[in-house]
Amino acid sequence: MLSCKHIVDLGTDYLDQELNFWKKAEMKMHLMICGPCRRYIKQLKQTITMLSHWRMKQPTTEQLEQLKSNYQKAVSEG
Amino acid sequence: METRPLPPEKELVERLKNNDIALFEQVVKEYHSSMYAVAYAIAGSSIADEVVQEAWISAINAINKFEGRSALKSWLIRITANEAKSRLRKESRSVSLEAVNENWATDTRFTQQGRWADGNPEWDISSPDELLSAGELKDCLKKHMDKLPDKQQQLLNLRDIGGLDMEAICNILEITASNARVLLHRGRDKMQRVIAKFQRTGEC
Repeated sequence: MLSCKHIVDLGTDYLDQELNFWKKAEMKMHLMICGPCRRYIKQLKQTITMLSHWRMKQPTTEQLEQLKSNYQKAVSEG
Repeated sequence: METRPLPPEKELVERLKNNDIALFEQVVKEYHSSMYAVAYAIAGSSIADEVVQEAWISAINAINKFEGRSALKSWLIRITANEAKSRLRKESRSVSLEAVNENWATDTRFTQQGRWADGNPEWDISSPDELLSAGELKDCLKKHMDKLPDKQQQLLNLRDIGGLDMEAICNILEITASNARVLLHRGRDKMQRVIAKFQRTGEC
C-alpha cells in the first residue's frame, strides 16, 4: 500500500503519464480515498501552470527597440 | 494577465511575415521570458541576455521561411536552445546529481507512517494566474528557485517555464529520462511547498 509520502513522490510521473499500469492503478485507488493527496496533485498542477504563465523576465526597452528595428529591416527586405 | 492574448498561430505567423511591428512587439514580450529561462539554464546568467538577443535575430531572419510545422513558441525555444548550446561555457556547472533522497526521511509534512501531518489544506485561489498576481509570492518563489540545486533549477526553467520537451532536455543536460523526471519533480515539489506555506502563513 502506498503511503501519502509515496504518492507525493510520484506526482510528476503521474501527471506526465509515466507510471506503469499497476502503479497508476494503485495511485488512483489511493487518490480515491485520500483528500489531502488529491489536493496535492491539484496543487502540483496549479504550480506547473503557474510556472508556465510566469513572465519572469521582460526585455529592456533598449533590447526591444533593437529587435524592432532588426525586425523591420529584415521583413521589409525579405 | 499582463498582455492581451496573441492571435491564432496561423494568423500570427502570417502577420509577422507582413511587417506587423505592434504584433512583433507583443510576441517579444510574450515569449522573451521563456526564451530567457532556457538560455539561462543552458548557458548561464552571464551570457543569457546575449543568447536571447541572438536567438531573436536568427528568428527574425528566418521568419519568412518558417512554415508553421511547429508552434511559433516551440520554434523560438528551439532556436534559443541551439544558440545557447553553441555558446555553452566550457567549465561545467556542478554536475553531480544531488542525493535525491537526502530529505526524504525528515520531511516534516508527513507523520512517521507517511501520512499528511496537517491534512494538506486546500489553497484559497480560483486560478493559477491568481497566484501570480501576488507580487510578494512571486519574489518568494524566485528566491527559493535561486536556492534550488542547479539541476533542479535547470529542469524547472527548461521544462515548465521554457516549455521544452523532456527528450530535448535530456540531450542538453546529458542525463537520463528518469533522472530528469526526479529532478523536475523535486523542483516542482519545492515550489508547491513554498506556495503552500505562503497560503498558510502569508510569509515566505
